[in-house]
Amino acid sequence: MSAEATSPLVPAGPLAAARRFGLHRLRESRTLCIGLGIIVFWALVALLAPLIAPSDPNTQYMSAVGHALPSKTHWFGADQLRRDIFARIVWGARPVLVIAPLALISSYIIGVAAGMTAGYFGGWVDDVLSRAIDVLLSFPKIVLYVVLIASLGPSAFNIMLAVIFISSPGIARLVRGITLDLRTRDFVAAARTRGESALFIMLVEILPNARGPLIVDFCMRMGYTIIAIGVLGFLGLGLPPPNPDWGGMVREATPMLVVYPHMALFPAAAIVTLVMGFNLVADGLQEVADAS
Amino acid sequence: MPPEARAVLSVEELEIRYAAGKGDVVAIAGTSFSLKRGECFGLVGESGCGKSTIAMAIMRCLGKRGRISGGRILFDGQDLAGISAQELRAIRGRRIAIVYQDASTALNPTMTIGAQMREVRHGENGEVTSRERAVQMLRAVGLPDPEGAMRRFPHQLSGGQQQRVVIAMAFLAEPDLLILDEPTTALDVTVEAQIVDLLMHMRAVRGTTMLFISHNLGLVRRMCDRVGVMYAGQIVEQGLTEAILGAPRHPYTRGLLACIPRLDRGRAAYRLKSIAGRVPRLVDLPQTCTFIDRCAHAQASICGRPIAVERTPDGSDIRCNRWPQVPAEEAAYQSTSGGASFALNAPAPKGAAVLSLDQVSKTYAIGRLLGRPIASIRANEAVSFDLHAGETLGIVGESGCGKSTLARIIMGLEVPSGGRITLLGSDVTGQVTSRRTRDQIRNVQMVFQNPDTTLNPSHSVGFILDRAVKKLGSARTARERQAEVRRLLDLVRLPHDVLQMSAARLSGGQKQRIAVARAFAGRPSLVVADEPTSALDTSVKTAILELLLAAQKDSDTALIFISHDLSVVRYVADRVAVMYGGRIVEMGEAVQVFSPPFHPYCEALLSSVPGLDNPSPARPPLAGEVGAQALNGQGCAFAPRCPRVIEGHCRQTVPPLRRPAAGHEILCHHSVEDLRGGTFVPARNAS
Repeated sequence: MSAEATSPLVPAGPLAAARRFGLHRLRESRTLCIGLGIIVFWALVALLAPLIAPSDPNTQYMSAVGHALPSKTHWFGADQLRRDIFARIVWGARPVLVIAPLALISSYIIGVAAGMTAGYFGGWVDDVLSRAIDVLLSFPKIVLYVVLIASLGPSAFNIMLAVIFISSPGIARLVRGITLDLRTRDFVAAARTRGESALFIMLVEILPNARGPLIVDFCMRMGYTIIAIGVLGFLGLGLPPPNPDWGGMVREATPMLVVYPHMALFPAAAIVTLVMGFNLVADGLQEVADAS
Repeated sequence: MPPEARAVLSVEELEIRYAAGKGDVVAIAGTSFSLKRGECFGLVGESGCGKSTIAMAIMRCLGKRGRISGGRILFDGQDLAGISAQELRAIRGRRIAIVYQDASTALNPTMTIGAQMREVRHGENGEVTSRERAVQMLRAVGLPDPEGAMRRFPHQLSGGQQQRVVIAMAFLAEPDLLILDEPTTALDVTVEAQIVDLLMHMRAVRGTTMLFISHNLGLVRRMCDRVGVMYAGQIVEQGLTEAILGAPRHPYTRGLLACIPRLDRGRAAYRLKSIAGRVPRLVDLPQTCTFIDRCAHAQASICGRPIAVERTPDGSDIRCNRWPQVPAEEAAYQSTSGGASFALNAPAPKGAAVLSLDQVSKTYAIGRLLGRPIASIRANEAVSFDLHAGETLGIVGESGCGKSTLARIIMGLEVPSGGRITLLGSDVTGQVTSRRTRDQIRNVQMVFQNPDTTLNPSHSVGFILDRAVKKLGSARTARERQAEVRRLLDLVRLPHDVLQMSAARLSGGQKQRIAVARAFAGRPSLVVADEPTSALDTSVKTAILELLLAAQKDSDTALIFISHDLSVVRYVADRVAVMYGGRIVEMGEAVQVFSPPFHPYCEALLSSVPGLDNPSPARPPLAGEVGAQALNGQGCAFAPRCPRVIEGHCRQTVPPLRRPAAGHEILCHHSVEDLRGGTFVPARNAS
């Protein structure tokens, strides 16, 4: 029979679209595929660092004296202290890919809690939280980073604290906006007339419907955070030496930029590709959400 | 051929396909019709039948995925499918104009009305519209203060006024063909009556050929000379409006008509019948009757092969192999099934009221300065009524009359500003839902209007129902809850396998069924249904109504049914309250409210409804719109629009409550005898 009955499995509504970020949808966006590929690549590099670059990234090679340029033994060349740049980039992927996600997940916990509370309850709760967010967002981010790290001292933990302090207000504002919209939906009214608690409504009724925009935002923020960590390293506020740190490597290479550009180029390229990976994923997810 | 006799628009065996994933979806499968000059042709059918697709194809706006895969669209003898972009520009908006459903998105919010009107080009050479001409046209469509409106932005006009502007723009181009795609669906009944009046007037004056697309058969009957009934991309029956809507032969047309509630009688006298199933999605040209799965008359041997269009004795075209037998079979079926002898809900022994409202009012502050409201809006004022178990109270009124605020107050989503609410004998005034006891919460539940937001799209149907049973039901163990969820699914006649489905994947009708099931999870004493069917298609609407009433009967629940649709309220309600400006202006048994004496507002509402039993209005439509005037709290809120206003009296003093009969109340300055002389007689065309 040619008249096929309409299947009840027809996707409907923009919220429904956001929910189906399943693996089978990867094919729909090449952007998403490329972005994910880059991220997976760097994750593998970080994970398999001992296999890819078995030597200690802080080893100084006497053989590299006068031979800093890329060669067969040192693929990316050697730096001003005659350390292997390839090994330092491979090992340098580890702190970035641990600090950035951990710090961001913590920021999300704080930001979502504050944003949902403000958006759901409104009134004076919203006034107080929103004004606090406005104050925090009014400082230039880079100044905040410098002030925080300079006063706390550079360490992986303190960088995480700074990221949390600086990212959560923006997340809170985003979540507040989404909550303001979602709380007017009838299913929220239905939950209230069913006698559900505010916590249940926020976590079970509202939050799952916000995940589409939040996942996209998370990927964008990963990019920003990786840049911020790089900038801190470049300003000398990154991981204390001699730990391999991409931003720090660029900083150390600047005096010799004219003679040996490769010393700055390779770590800079590492930062750029990883950030691009996250941005492409964010764009791709948006594409998939818009298409359906 | 003389130009007068030639068809303005002639659609011949049109076939439209949309690219969808691997294959195609056939949206239009061999549709033919033509419009003679000056004619108004109606296209009716449920959503998804291809009505709007045809309009879009005529405008050549099918988008990237759509294409005309067969047939022709001849406009003034020229095939629109084959013309160049340049030729198309000369036709679009100039020789063919279109009016969409939603005027607020049809107008550009960043441009003044004047600037948009002057963009319209007209005549052979595409002359720019002069200011004078634009003002003149705005005056012709009855916009108040046309000079001032030219300088205003769309958001400064009401919905009805916006639609008038869109219509004015359409007529500015002096088009040969005007396409109207559900032009009044988003409007209130009284405004709809104004717009329909305007369109009929413009057509009479200018002789414009019109293609009128609507799902509202009453409107089509009022406006159109001929009508085509669309189903699954085909016109299944077309002919003169009187013939098609008066004596339909196609089972689908008959089904559609059987879904429409009447104004002149209630549920006691007849039952609505819904059409089971849903419109099929065609992946190829149909080789059988498209209606075969939903048709009571279908016989596989006769209907399972390609269906040719045949001509009936009254000149209609019909696409049905069994049309000569259909009416007789239906009559026979009805006589065997016992006909229309349904008993009214037996008047329940009136014990204590489930809900009683006493002088409830609600005021909203607009803006605050140092904690004090600058101004306030009255949403509800002195609303009082009692509601008993098993009773259905219908609340009608246009948007902005305060009916939804009242629902929210009863539910505890809002706190009233004054008055008293008693629920099951205990005072709940000022108690929002979270302050109510578990028992009070269980006993008052709500069904919402919009099927797309009523269920959480992130949850599965199983989770939604289980949660409702957990919070509202008496079941304790997981097994008991499961049994209860299954009982609820049976109650709303859905298969059990929907439990695993995500709520986002259900159709509008299915979502609303789940919403009904959820509301009845705790066998509540009171359910408030706020426009539960107004976003649904005709055939689905009827099914939901029946379901709601069956569920109500099952647990002897009191029902508050809020709607702007008078005929639906007439069908479901035992008692009816008519609201205007936050007040109940008339209340009584359904029979009393729907027959004289009327409150002038109720009378105006009734004559605005383009029912099938009420094809032409008894009087000019009510002028103005709700909310166009500030409510000063004194005098009658309806006075500014009332055709029977007593100057110097109605606007100044609060009207008294008249009691024409036991249980019937009218809030009006006119005496009962005065009101009895109403001109609206609903049963005029019936019987």
